[in-house]
Amino acid sequence: MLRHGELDQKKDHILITAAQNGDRQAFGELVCRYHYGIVNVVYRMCGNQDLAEEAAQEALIRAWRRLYQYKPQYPIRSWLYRIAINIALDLLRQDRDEIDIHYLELEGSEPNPDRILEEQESARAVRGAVLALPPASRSVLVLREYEGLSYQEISETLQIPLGTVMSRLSYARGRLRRELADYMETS
Amino acid sequence: MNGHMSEDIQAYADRELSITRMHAIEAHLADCAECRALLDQQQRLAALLQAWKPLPESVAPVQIALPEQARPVLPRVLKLSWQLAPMVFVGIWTFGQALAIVGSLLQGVIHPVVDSGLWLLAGRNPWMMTFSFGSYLIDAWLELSSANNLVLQFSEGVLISIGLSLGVSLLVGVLFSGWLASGWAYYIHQKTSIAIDNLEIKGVINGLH
Repeated sequence: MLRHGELDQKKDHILITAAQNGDRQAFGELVCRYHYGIVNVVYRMCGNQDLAEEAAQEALIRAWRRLYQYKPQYPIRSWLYRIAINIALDLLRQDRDEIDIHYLELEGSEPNPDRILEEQESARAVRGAVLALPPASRSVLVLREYEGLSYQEISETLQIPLGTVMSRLSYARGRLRRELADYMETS
Repeated sequence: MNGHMSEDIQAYADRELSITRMHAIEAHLADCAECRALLDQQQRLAALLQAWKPLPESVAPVQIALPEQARPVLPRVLKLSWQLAPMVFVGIWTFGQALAIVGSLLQGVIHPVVDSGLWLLAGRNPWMMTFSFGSYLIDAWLELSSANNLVLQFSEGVLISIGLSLGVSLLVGVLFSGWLASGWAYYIHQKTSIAIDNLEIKGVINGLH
């Protein structure tokens, strides 16, 4: 009997095969499955919602155009994330000066104003510290901490050796520990 | 804490180690306060990082206007070789002709050329080269089998006069027709693909979250 993850992979495989043969509806289903993840990966990379949505669209269009290049031995998620991260890195190179790491969009509301302020302050600090990381380390950290990918999946997504994944992650966490030390004390 | 343990502690917290290695790190953690502190810091950092919330899921449909899907392209070398195939064939043919003319000029002048078997090509039309070569082969076979009877001689005549020439003609015909057919199929495929993509280029994906 197939497990949930295996069933998902099997369904992905069917959809990809159909999309590779030009089936737009099949690609539409893949978009529904992965669009949200892609937008968030790019959002964590560049810190701007509009840019993230624009880059996600660009990534999906690029994926559609080059779907014949996709190799089924890797999960489609890794492949889509790789395209999205490359686009995000391009955006970062172009708009390096335009990214305001102190800007923060606020979502939701809590009844306790002090709690809201505290959370906003932590979120702002975390966002600033993550966006200040070098892009290479940031992409590894985002995929691990926010997307929950395993080291192996990160290695496949970014096409870097497993050892490099570990060292970049270690560097990113070490730097974040130092920069967010005050917030870690209070958390 | 040893510096080299930092990545191990990290991999332990991420549950990326083998069971054996996990047990080894657990044993180390029981004795090392510094590594325990590092593990605690990592766990607190992981929790703190979640303060930066993801974007809310959009309720609006995802709309993407998909362009024409790219298709795998043949490597340039393969494309060129396919187009150059008839020219290569003509080149080989010309080389054979040239060899026949040169062989004819040399015949009688240089004995080794005659003895080496090049006389088969000498001064002959390329179509006749198959005749000469077939005759040469069957003579050799008859000599070996020492069965020089009428049936075999008749077979020799039939094989030489019809079989080989027809065979070569057929081969050339099949190769040329195959080349033409593949060219036509490629042209039709390209034309159909472009037509389909142009029709659907305004298509929009409506994905519901």
